Amino acid sequence: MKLYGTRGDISHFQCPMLQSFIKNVWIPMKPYYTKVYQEIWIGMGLMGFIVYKIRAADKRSKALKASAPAPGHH
Amino acid sequence: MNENLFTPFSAPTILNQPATIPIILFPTLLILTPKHPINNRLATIQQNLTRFTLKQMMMTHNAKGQTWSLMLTSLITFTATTNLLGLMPYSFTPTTQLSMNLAMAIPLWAGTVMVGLRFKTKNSLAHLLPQGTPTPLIPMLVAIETISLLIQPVALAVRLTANITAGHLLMHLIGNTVLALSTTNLSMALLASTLLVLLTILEIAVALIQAYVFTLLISLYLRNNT
Repeated sequence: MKLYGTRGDISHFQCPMLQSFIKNVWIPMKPYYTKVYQEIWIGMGLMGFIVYKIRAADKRSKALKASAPAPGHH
Repeated sequence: MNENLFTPFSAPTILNQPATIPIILFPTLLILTPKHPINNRLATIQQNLTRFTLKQMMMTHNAKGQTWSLMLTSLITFTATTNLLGLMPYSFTPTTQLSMNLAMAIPLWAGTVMVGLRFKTKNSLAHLLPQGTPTPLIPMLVAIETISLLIQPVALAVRLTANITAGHLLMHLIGNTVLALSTTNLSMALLASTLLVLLTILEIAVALIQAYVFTLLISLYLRNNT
């Protein structure tokens, strides 16, 4: 990855992949990501919260089972 | 031989690394991105299909709803291609996983609800009470309508998961039946293989229909809220 410009008179941070991403993805999609999909971002936050809650509950129940192993089932 | 019937639905690994994300991203490689005003035949067919789907879906929306065109068209394209690719033998279908379908349904449903609450608060709250309800029934009906609203994303996700999983499972079972009968009773094996062919045709239809139903319902929720 070419990080610094090779010309002598400029010394700035370059990242061709990031520039290509910004030019081809971010600039055309900017009105969607910033205006149209605002509510969808909030929905994604809600989904992330639900995933976090489920994972935390699973971890808690596994820790509980590991710390107190049940006697043999009949 | 599979350990149990649900082994084909487990998350795939390549050299012990989870391969789910490359598999989810794979359909994007199959979709062309035509750059010219007049393209070759395949790109033109794809463009015409996309245009047809877009027109059918977004015709009844107002201007606010039509800002979701890109999202809904991507959704139906992704779901349809993923479901169809899953019909190939030994492939993994991401839409058989409830986690994936919930991850698609919850943000989109929540987005539609929030669009309604933000831009048409009174109208979207009024949906919680059907017209002509007798006064004593109002509290109970508001509770019922709220529950039916909250169950919508779960229903969306479970509908897609159950349909695709059930179809794949049935194909597995009947395929195993044909294999088992092929050595003992050839005529029954032929009957079962005819059934398998018909089931495969049904599964192709189900794959497309489920993608359409998922997107149509999200579009309907959006229309109610815009």
